[in-house]
Amino acid sequence: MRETGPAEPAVRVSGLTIGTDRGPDPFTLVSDVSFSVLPGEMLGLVGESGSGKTLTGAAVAGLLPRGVRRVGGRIALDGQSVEGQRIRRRPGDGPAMIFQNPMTSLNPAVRIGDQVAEAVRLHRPKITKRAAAAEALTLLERVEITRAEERMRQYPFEFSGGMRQRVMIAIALATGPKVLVADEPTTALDVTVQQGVMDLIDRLRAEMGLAVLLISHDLAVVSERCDRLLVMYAGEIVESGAAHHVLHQPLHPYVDGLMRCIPERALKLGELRSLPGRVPAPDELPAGCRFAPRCDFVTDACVSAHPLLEEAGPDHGVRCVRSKEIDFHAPTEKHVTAGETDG
Amino acid sequence: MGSAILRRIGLRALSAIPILLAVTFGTYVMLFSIGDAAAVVAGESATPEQVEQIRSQLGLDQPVLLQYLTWLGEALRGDLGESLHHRGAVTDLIAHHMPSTLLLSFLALLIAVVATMAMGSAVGLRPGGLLDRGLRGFSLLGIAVPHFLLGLLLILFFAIWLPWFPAGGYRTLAEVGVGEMLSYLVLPAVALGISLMCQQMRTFRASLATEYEADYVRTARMKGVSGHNIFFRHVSRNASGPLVTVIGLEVGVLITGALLVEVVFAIPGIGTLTLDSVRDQDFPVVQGLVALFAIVVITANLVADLVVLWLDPAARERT
Repeated sequence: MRETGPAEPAVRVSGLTIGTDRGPDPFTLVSDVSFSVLPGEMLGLVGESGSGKTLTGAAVAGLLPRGVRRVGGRIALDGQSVEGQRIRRRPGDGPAMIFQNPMTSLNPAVRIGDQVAEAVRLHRPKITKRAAAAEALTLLERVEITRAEERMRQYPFEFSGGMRQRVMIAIALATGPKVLVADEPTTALDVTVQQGVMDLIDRLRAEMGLAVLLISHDLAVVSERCDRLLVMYAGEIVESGAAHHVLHQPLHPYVDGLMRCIPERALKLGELRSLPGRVPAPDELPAGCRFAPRCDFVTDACVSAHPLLEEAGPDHGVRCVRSKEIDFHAPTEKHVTAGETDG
Repeated sequence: MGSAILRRIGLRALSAIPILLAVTFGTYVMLFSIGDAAAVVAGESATPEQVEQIRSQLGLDQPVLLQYLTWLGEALRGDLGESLHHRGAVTDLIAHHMPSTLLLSFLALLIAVVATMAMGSAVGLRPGGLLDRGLRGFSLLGIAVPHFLLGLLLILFFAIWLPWFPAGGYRTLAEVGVGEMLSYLVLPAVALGISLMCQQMRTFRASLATEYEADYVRTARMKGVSGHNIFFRHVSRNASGPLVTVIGLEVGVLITGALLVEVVFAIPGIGTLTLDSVRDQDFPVVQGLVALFAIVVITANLVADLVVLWLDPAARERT
C-alpha cells in the first residue's frame, strides 16, 4: 500500500455506473456516481427507495446481486484500484457491509457464536477453532452483547432486532475491514434501540478509523451523524456537499422537497408537503433532468438536456440547470430563521 | 426442550392408534367380504361340509367384529396368525422377505439423496443456467416415466446388451459375498433411486431458489464464504425441510411401491410377497402386511417431522 499522506481516502469511487447484464435490453441502474470516504469519516448517502443508493453501497462492498454488475467507473480501496468485478479477491477481503433487515441477515439455523467465528476463520485461515471462538467472544463483547459467552450458543431467533444488528456488526468487524457500508442499519429497528446501534457504529468509526458509508432514507439520522452527504435520485447524485449546506441551503428542488417532507423542518419552512409522483423506473428515465416530471420549477431547458453535476460552491455540487435562479424560500421567506448558515 | 420433544413423539404415537385401528379393521372387513378363507384352506376339491368344518375350526363363523378383535389381540402379542398357503407364521414370512426390500429401499434412497444433494449444490451456484434447466427437464421426464419401465430399460442396457449385472434374482449374504449380493441390487436400486431423485430434485430446487434469495446468503458472501460452502454450510440445511418431508413420504411409497420393481427384477421381497398373497387370497398375510405398511408410513412421517423440527431451531423452541 502506498503512503500518500493522511488524506488518502479509504474508498474512492469515480464514475461508478451499474447496470443489468442480462436480457436483450440491458439498462442502467446507477450512473456516474463519484465520491470518496476518508478513514474515520462517515459519509451519508440519502435517497428514496429506487434511487440506487443500496446498489451503490453493494457495489462498493462487492456484493451486487445476481444479474447486476458494475459496467463503468472505478473503485479504489486504500488508493489501489480494484479491477473488474473482483472487489473480494480473498475471502473476507474488502469492505464489510451490514444490511437493513437484521432479522433475516443471520442464518436462522446456525448458533450466533459459530456465525461470528466463521467470519474470523475465513479472514485468518490459520487460526484454530478454539482461538476463533475466543475471538468471536471478544468481538461480541466489543459490540456490547451482554452475557456474550452464554449468548454465543444461542440461535438468532433468541435475539432482538437491535442485538442481531450488533451481531452483524461483529461479523463485519471479524473481516478486519477499513470500510463499512451500513445500508439502512437502523430502519428496521425499534426507535428505542436505533440510537444505541448508531452510537456503536459511530464509536467504532472513531476508535478504528473506519470509513463508513451510511445509506439511509432518514435525513434526521444522516444529518446527526455525517459531516458530508450525497443525495441520490433515479440512479444519480443530484446534490452533494457538507451536511449543513445541503440540509439548510439545498440547491436542488428535489432536496428542497425532501426537506419539506420532514415535519420539524417544514415547521420552520412554513409548509409540510409530500413529494407528488414517484421515482421513475430505470427503463423509463426522462431524457433531460430525471426529476423534471415531479419538479415545480421545470422549464424547457430542464427537459431538453440532461444536467451535469456542477460545482455550486466550495464542496457543494448540484445537478440542476436552474439552481442559481430558483429561490425556494421566496413564498415563505418570512419563516426562514435569520442568520442560518450560509452557502 | 427434550421433554417437549418426547411429549410430541408421545402425542403423535397416540394419534397413530386410531389410524392403525381404522386401517386394519377396514382391511379385515374388506378381506372378509371379498373372499372365503375357509374355502381357500379347504381347497377346490373339498365338499361344502368340509369347508363348514374348517370354517368353525378357524373361528370364521364368528361375527366379523369378534374375529377382528381376536386378530388384534394376537397381533398385539406379536402373533399375526398362520399363512393359509405356506407353512408357518405370517411374522416369519414377513421377516424372511424383509431384508432384500430393506436393503433395496436403503440403496435407492441413498442414491437419490446423494444425487439430489450433489445436483442441488451444482445448480445452486448457477440457478437458471444450462445445468439447472437440463435437470428440470430430466426430473419431469423421470417423474413421468414409471420406475418399472426404467427397470426394464436398465435390464436391457446393463444386463443384456452389456452383461455387467444380473438381470434379476437375489442371493442372500449367507449364500454369496457382499459384492455379489449388491450386484443383484444395483439395477433395481438405480431404477428406484432415479425415480425418487426426480421427485426430491423438484422439491429441493424450489426451496433452494427461495433460500438463495435470503439475506443471510448475502451475509455469507460478505464474510467471504465460497460458493461451495454457501451451499453446504448455509443454504442446504435451511432448504432441506421440504426435502425431508418428501423423503418421509417416499419411505412409505418405497415399502409398497418397490413392488413393481421387485417383480420386474424377480427379487423375493415384501413387494413380491404382497403380490403373491393377494393373488393366492392368503388373507392373514395380506392383513399382516397392511398393518406393517401402516406402521411404516406413520413412523416415517413422524421421523421426517422430527428431523424438520431439528433443522429449524426456532421451531424446536416453539414445541
